[in-house]
Amino acid sequence: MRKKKMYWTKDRLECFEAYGYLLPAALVLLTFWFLPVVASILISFTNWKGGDRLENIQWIGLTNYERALFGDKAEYMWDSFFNTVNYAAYSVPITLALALAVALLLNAPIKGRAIFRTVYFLPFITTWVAVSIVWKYFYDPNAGILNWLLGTTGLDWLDDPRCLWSMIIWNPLGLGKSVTHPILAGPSISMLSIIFTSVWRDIGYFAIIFLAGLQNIDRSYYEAASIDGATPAQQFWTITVPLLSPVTFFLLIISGIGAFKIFVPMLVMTPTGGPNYTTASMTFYLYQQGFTGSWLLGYASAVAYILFVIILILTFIQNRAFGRKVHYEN
Amino acid sequence: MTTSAIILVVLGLAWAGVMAWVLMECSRRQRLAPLGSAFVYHMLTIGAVIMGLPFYWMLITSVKSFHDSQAYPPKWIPIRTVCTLNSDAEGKIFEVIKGDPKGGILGGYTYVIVKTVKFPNGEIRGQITPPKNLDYDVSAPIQLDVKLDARQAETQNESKGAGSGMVTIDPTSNTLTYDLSFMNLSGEITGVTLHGFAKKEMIGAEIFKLNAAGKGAAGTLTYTAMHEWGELILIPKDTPPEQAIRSTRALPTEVSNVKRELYFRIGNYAEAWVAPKVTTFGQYFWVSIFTSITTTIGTLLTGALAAFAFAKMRFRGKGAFFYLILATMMVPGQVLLIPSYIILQYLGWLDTYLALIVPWLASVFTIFLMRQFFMTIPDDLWDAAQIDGASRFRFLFIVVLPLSKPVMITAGIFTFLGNWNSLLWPLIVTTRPEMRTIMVGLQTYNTEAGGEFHLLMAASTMAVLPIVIAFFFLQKFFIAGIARTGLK
Repeated sequence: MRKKKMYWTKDRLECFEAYGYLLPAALVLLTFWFLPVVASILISFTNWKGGDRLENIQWIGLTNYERALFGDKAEYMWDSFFNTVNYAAYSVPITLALALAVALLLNAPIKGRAIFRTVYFLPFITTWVAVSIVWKYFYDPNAGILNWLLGTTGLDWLDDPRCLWSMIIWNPLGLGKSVTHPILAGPSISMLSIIFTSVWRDIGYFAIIFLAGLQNIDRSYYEAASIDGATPAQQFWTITVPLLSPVTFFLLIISGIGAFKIFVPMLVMTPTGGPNYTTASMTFYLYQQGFTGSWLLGYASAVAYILFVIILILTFIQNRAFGRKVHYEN
Repeated sequence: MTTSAIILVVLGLAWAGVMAWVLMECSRRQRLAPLGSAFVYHMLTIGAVIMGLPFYWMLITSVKSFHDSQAYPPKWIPIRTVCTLNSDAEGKIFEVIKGDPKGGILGGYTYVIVKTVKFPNGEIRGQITPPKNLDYDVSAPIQLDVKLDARQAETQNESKGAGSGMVTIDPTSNTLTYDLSFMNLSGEITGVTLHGFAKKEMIGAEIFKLNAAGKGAAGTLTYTAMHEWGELILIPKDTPPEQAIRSTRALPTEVSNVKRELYFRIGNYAEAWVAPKVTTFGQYFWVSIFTSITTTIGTLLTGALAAFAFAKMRFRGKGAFFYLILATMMVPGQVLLIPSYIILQYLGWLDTYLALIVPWLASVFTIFLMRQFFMTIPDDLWDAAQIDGASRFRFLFIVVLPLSKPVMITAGIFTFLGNWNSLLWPLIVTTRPEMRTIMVGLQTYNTEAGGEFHLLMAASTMAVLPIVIAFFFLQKFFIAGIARTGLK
């Protein structure tokens, strides 16, 4: 098989056979991945609306992008962008930190680990739709048990526009009225409720991956460190943390991307985009523009591309910021 | 006051310190001190309660009565009060009582709204006599896809609300009945425009457009409210007699033999099963099971073939193709949504099984996962197979695939789960109720049922149950598969 001289016919046969094997997957991927990626750019330059015939569609250049970024639609578009940033900025670190804690606990040599692992993992396999419906019931102002558990009455969690930092910092300082930017004002209570739900759902998934990473670390490192008289804290910071960093980095990337694509809980729990539009994510906005109302397919394509670019930039930044600190074991 | 606060803070800090210490201890995987493992158990149990509570609540609510599902303080176990009604109290229509508008959640009762204040969720039903020259094909299926446009009184320029539903045309009496559900509407509805689109043969062609203005131009609109603005509350039939009687201020002499018993209202499931208006959850299940299984098998097949080519064969452009495929993993699905939708529209596949299945018949992730596994299979096996005169195709199916069971199961689970749980795609490419997957069905039901949490929880349980059962059987593969994706 190696570097022997081959007859060109045999080579070519193998080549064609390989193309044959690739064909079924390639057909599907070409039609529903590659073609759309290219088509999407083209569509984003048109004023295509749902139900339009091809001849009615006009080439409008960058107008859609202009509308989204600076034009008449910019307000909602940027709102949805900052909402998504808020969602990602709070849900990702909290989920990762709690998942690491759970993974560490599950890493301890105790009995009944498998049962705990199953319980923690269960929310992840139950679908977002059902999870959102159950939590919507939890948050219900009248029938929900959250108000009962917290002793608050009639608090409408999913319809409360008050923002976190406005409540904690800006209002006591008397600046509540002037600080309105979604990032400075923080996520609304409504958004925090969704973040809480998503943390609850994803902990198990991340914990399993963290756990696999922890168990992958060779025990002899700790034994050697113990003999050298290192305390558990020293061992944690000098062995566990660096050796776990590839896993952490991987999770940071995938959870960051996932957070920017979030859609279902927003649609199910706050179908209008939440109080003051504070829970509408970018995908939610895209769905609203493209597939409801007047079906602005061209405009929604532009939004999709903006989202794509944002995700690319985000991954790039994460790579630059944390990539070098990752310690790969050889 | 200050001393207790200080004590609390000190206790909290001490607890956090112990917690941090134990967590660091845990990372070493060495035997813990007895107190340490007690602490681990206590933390894990608290976490497990938080993780498990929503499931318990979902299950228990799914067997409660409507009234219990609304009870405050919540009922942790469904206990009902049974009593004997004396003489003619039975069958009496209970008095209509006044309730607070927010608390009165009542499905299925139709009443006309006098004052439209807020439209968070709702429905429009009605009948219109269409214009005589309406250009529709009577022989074509009479259920048409409909878009609903609603203008808001405050912001004229754009509707933030929309909905979908179905229209039935009765050609003999020339009436058009529509039944739409919508969401996101706020403000007064000034008008509704129905766009009818023909199916299959004339995809996208608008065959009629009707303007039904709110104040009776082309027809009368009756708003069927789901909740939130009722002035009146009717007591549903299955209200426990005790509560019903209390609310009607009946005399205690009218009841006897009052006792409390545990009661699981299994009937909720049957009620939820047939709750969707046009179809049943059975149909949703069928669509989901059928599409998930076909896509899983298809993805595994195309994935195995492509992965085999990438792992074990030499061909021109191999590296380029592989990187091209990897690059597609970067593109978020949202970008593909609109062009794929348009492609499906031109193929005439919208609202068919093809739209739900074909685009998902190949998965980059599966190809990648399987290729990684195939690479680990030694080439000697292929040499041996060649000596036995096997073709590559035979070799793949007889030798390679049986060896790759773990990765096949992992990839299969991911594909199946992804399909079963996906919402956005089926939501967009299907409009007919009969073509809804279980997730779309559940979401539609969620907007329709509003506050009927007991039925919603029953429906959610049904949607989740197959996956949970499968998880318990295939747990090993689930967890191994997920751990594997993280370590690669």
